[in-house]
Amino acid sequence: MAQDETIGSHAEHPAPARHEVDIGLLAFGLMGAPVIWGVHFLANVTIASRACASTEMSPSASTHAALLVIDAVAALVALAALYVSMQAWGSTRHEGADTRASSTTPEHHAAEVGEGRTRFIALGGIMMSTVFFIAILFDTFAAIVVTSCGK
Amino acid sequence: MQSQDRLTALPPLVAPSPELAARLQALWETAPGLRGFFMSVDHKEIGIRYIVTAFAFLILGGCEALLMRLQLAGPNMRLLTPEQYDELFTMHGISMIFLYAMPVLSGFSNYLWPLLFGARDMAFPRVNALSYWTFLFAGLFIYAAFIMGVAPNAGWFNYVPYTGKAANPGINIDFYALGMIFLGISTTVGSINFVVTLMRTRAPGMSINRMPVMVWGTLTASLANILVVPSVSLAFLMLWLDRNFGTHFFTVGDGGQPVLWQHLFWMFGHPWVYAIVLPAMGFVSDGLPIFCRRPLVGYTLVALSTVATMALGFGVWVHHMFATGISDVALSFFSGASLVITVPSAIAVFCWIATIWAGRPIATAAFHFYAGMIALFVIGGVSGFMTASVPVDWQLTDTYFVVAHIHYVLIGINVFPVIGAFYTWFPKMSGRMLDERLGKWNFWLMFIGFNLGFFPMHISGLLGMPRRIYTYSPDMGWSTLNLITTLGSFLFAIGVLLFIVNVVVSLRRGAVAGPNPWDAGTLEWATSSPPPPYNFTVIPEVGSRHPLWEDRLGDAGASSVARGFAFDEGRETLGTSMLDSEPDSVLRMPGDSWLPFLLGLATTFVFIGMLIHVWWLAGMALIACAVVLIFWLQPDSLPPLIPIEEASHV
Ligand code: HEM
Ligand SMILES: [Cu+2]
Repeated sequence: MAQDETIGSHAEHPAPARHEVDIGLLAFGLMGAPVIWGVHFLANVTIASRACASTEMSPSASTHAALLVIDAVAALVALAALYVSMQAWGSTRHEGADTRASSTTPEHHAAEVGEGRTRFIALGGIMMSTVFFIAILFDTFAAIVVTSCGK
Repeated sequence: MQSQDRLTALPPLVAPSPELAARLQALWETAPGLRGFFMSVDHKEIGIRYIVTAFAFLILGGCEALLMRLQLAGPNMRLLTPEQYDELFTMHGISMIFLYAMPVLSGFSNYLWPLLFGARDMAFPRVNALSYWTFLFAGLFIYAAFIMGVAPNAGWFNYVPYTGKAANPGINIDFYALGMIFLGISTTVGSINFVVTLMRTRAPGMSINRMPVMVWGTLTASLANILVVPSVSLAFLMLWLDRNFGTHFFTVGDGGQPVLWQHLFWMFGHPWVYAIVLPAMGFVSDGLPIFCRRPLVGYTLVALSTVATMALGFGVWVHHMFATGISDVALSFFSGASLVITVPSAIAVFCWIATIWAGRPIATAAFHFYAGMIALFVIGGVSGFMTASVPVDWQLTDTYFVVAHIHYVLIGINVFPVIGAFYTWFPKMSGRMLDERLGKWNFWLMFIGFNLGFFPMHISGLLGMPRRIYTYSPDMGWSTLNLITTLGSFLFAIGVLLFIVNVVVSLRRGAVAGPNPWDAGTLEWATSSPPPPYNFTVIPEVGSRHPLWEDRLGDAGASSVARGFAFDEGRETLGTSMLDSEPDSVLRMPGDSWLPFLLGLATTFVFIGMLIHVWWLAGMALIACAVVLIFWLQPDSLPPLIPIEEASHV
């Protein structure tokens, strides 16, 4: 892919490891968890609101089960995104190694000096997946403790 | 950006020379005088106008607030009538949230982005000018209501049924409704411009992991605005139809629902409040390293926490509606998301503290403002966390506790970083330093005044004082607290005044700044202060996050700043790819133009016509808009100011 190379550039490419990790996987690692969180959130709110529209008591058991199943599926997708990001992070340790000041570890380097766009996205994916996994856990917790429509 | 010529080979790196600078000056200079004032598309000019205009609205909104504080200084005061008080808190909220907080950040971003990117202008310079003119005209449109004594009077979130025709028959709310739809145009085109600028005009080599953090802030804010402004524009349009044509979107009967307003408003409103703090948090992330003499600790975490905050921010709007009777099960999801949002915010706070801890901080005025912001952010964050809990919010909603919270977050995370940004980048904009001694007085007056004035509001709120009341009885036990609040507010206002004095004095007598007075590491400091119309004589090539600090970070020579690309065959800048900023085309940029001003003006008359129901006026103005747009969209019209023949990079 000729146009992939920087044309006649004088500097080193910012993402030397870009051919080693599939961009689609990187994107899933970064955005998989937030997207599934958004989908599961809308689904949960819609299901809960509809179930509670006509009652002040608890929604039916099947409604409850539906909420929990949605939470579980979403949590699994977020974990998958976390796994993919960690894989990408682990397999690109060498990215930016040549410009890396000798005193820093690879982790420290990517977080602060910031060389290596591939690793940047991988690390971002680890963070995003973790935050949104926690967000999904919170919803699961809410679905378990809050059982009454109580308007 | 008009047309793109595919680039097949990069031109050689050249050193800047006086001849090259003169050629670029001729290409990029704005016409002098009044004509230039109306025709300029220079992002620096537009950025400064944005900042000055927004600051004017801050002062107006501030005066409105001080009037309210005088009225509330003691019980049973008769300075303002209840009706006047309603108009004042509404105009205060509108001015601060819509006409100051967002535009001032857009101003800084407009000014700084192309400089941070090593580019010659924003991607769409004329759209940039359009976004300024529509902002100005929409602001004047709303303030016209105030001047005519028919200001909006139902609070900045404008709840139905208070704003329905039955409860509010005057023209007040129509002004606000149409003004907000108008302002939405400005926000939308501005946001699109930011996003495309980021995708296309970064210096070669500036991959997404090498962008300054404030760019992440404005990027997320812009993406959010593109998604949510339609919601509020639609809501205001529906309200206007309800009020003027008897539709029933928000009125009970015929299937309408008042609470629909709240959903549509807050689906927009909550992301918006993040949009008015995230870029300001970016100022802190980029400013602290300058004064701590080291790179930001945890760049990746801070950059991505910005994105995470915004993404979560789409799922919390109902925390403004906990008391509307929505079922508990549904509320709990919104409560959960609101609580989780503290995670990314806390990540940013810890990274800032670590940066100060691990660096060698220099206590400049700007540093004071950034450090002060961290303290206020923590207080405002904690009170936000409290109101995110449904039962706690049921106690606190509509009390002064909420007024305390919004001011801690808005003044703490917007005003303080913005003043810090002035101390940091004013030298770049004006070529002169702001006075440091005055700056520290300025900081301490604002910081002490603010806490003195606004912390007691938490307590008056806990004591049960409702928000939006024009007075209270002495028996309530709120009198002392309110007096302290008023005194603190005035102290804070004097602090802001001192800042304005500092700006005025320093513009004349400040020390000359030079290109890089703070010895900072990013590209905007590589060009002169103020920068020439073309920003950079040569477009640099970037090899790290701190191109000017590479020597001392052990990365010498990764970037090429002293030598770069000339692009002097027309008004041109380099087009690069989105992720890794690989050069791929030459973007030809438009020059001075009347079109943005004319389009803004014509749009104003569309809204005036709609306001006063003079349909032929609205129709004619709409036709005028179409005519201007036809000229605007004329394919390949040559930019008017290019004296040198077209670029031929095909
Ligand atoms: C001198 C500085 C300021 C003072 C003394 C002040 C004071 C006040 C007062 C007295 C109220 C009305 C409280 C009520 O009756 O409910 C208020 C409301 C408000 N303020 Fe401020 N304020 C100041 C600055 C700001 C700034 C800088 C912002 C935003 C950037 C802001 C945003 C708001 C908002 C959104 C409201 C709610 C308006 C509403 O209830 O519709 N204020 N402020
Ligand atoms: Cu909110």
